[in-house]
Amino acid sequence: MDPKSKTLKTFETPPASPSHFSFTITKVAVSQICQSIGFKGSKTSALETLTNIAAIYLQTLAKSASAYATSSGRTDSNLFDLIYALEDLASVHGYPGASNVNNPLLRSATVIDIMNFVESTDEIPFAKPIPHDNTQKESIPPKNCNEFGRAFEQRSHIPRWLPPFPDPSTYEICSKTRFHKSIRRENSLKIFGSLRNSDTFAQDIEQNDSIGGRASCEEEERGSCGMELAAERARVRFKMCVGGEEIVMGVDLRNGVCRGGKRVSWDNNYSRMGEQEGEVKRRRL
Amino acid sequence: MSHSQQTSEGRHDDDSALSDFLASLMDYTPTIPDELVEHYLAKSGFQCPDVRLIRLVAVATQKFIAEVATDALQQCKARQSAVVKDKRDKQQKDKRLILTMEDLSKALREVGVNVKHQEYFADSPSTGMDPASRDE
Repeated sequence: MDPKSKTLKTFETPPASPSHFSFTITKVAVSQICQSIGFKGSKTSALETLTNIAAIYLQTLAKSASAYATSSGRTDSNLFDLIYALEDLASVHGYPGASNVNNPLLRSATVIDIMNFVESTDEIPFAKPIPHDNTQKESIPPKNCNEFGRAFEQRSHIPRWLPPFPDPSTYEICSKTRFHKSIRRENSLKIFGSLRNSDTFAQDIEQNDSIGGRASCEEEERGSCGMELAAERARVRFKMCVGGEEIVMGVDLRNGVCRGGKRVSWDNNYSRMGEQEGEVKRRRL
Repeated sequence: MSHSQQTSEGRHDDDSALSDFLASLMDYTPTIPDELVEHYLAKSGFQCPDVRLIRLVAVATQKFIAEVATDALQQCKARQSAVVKDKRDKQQKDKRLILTMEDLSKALREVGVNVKHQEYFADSPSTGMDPASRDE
């Protein structure tokens, strides 16, 4: 009960950095070794010191072996480099046959000691399966993995570490996109802005600019509530496919404003509705 | 002549023993997991595609830690037997084998690592002292 809560606590308190992750795993391995030796428990400081020393020993061994490999003009280390490194580290303590210059390397006492150790020691596998951190690998491809993103990802000239393309709905030709009626009104500002033909859209932009920055800011703030457009502009019709059925919105959608039969674009009505919202509601009632 | 033949034969035996040992490492599971060893090796610039060498590094580290821990255990037992000799009633309490910093520092001194307690200030002069000397 108590050690379990302790381990949980050590997992929770510090931030999950890679060094802490490896340190924790080393700690488990070192404590397993200590337990196999005969210890029943340990002070935290002592165990952490021994863990640090294990990590430093391993890294020193690796550095020394790679240094021997580098001095021989190789990048990959081999057995001889490793034995040299082992002898280097064992030379503090001393090992039999260290003074013998002609002793062949493969018969080094350090290696023989390790062989004896492996034969005499019981095999203690690591206590827990190591959780593989796959999140980093998965985050390299885009998170919103739709067909568009995948198509771009498959292109080999784009490096994998580059961020994914933005969502296709932000730059795809929007007449192909389908809307549900429920979100149609909410997205009226952005979607209808891009739905229009490019020339009318440019016209709108000019008109918006003429209104002034303050108005456009207000539009952004109000968002779905509608936008203030210039009163006069060309009639706009657009077709949409909803469930295979073509809807011409300017005609079909007759709300209170175009009840008189006059064809007015839905967008225009809606934008007016924003500023005359109360009036429209009263008429509907 | 015969002596040199013997040594060459012995050398050959040793080489084959070593290759057998390396082959047996493929089936051996060290306590230090392969992933961890690979992580530290890659961090230190050690490149090797051979799994046997990675296992050898793991086993060498395991042996080192086991030696240090054995030394510390001997220190612990020796200290406790000294305490028990003085105070019989403490036997039950101190019988537990716990890895402490003082035993570890003594064991590490033999392999060339100097570890000391962190310095701190104590209320009374006897607070930070060795329990064996404190009891006297």
